[in-house]
Amino acid sequence: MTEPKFEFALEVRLRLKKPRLELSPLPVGGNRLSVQILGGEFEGPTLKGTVEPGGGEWPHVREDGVFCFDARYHLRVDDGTLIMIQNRGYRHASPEVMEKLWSLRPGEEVPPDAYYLRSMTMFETSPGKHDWLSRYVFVGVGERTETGNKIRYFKVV
Amino acid sequence: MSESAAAPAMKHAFRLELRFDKPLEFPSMSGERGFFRIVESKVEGERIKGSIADDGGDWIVFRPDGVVETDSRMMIRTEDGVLVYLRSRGVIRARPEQLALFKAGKGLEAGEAYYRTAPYFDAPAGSNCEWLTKALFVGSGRFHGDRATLDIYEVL
Repeated sequence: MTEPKFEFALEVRLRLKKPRLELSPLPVGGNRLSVQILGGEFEGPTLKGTVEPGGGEWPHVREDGVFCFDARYHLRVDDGTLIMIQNRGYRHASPEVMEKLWSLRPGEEVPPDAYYLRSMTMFETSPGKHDWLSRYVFVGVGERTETGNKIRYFKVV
Repeated sequence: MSESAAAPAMKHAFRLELRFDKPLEFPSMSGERGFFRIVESKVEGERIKGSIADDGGDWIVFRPDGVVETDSRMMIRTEDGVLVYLRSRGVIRARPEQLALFKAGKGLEAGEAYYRTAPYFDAPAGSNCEWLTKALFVGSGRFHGDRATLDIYEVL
């Protein structure tokens, strides 16, 4: 068996609403957040465009501190095509790094290799030039930014 | 074989009134997709009153047979300040000819159609909304243009 390879597909930079809402504690432990998508941009070798406002992220923050994301929102390619993105994944690090990421201040940076932010991603779009997005498995590698996050998506081939 | 268990009774939990932004629509490989962003809402019941805290929305698939599959998420804030997360799957039996209107950006007029949902909730342990996490619920509603009204029942 050949090992899977990754091909860079696109990078999405998201702006997220603050403050995030925090429902706590869940009966199962941890808490539930609600984070709205304000907008953003994306770009890859074959497509670029903007992030539609609306949609959101409703992660479960487990008792062990791990963020389990569950996001869904929409991209609009500059040719008008709409793409729905559904994202599940994990973010975790030491409690100190997680605390720093939670309350990132202007100008502050945390090196991306200090934490794990990866997603399993599915895209849905219309038949046409971009429909390959709904035929492959994608993995996202992300970074938290002061205003939201930046995730680079790779096609698994 | 023992006798069948008695059919469960239902108790009204709350009424959910939603108003949506103009939907995003696009054909996809798994049906005509739509996203209805919730921009206004009201939750009204004897045991819970509130409104949507973040806008949330309904991600639908409009099937060629006219049936609309709904899939919604929203965070509610009660008048007491308690956050309640609602997720729900549902079915609207629209008429096949309404699909063409929907594709043409005419919204979804399904006022008389069968519209049922199965919502489930997260609420804080120890809060006055914890009961929402300990029962099953069924919703029955009406969908009119940019508005939906749902009565949510607790299955006893």
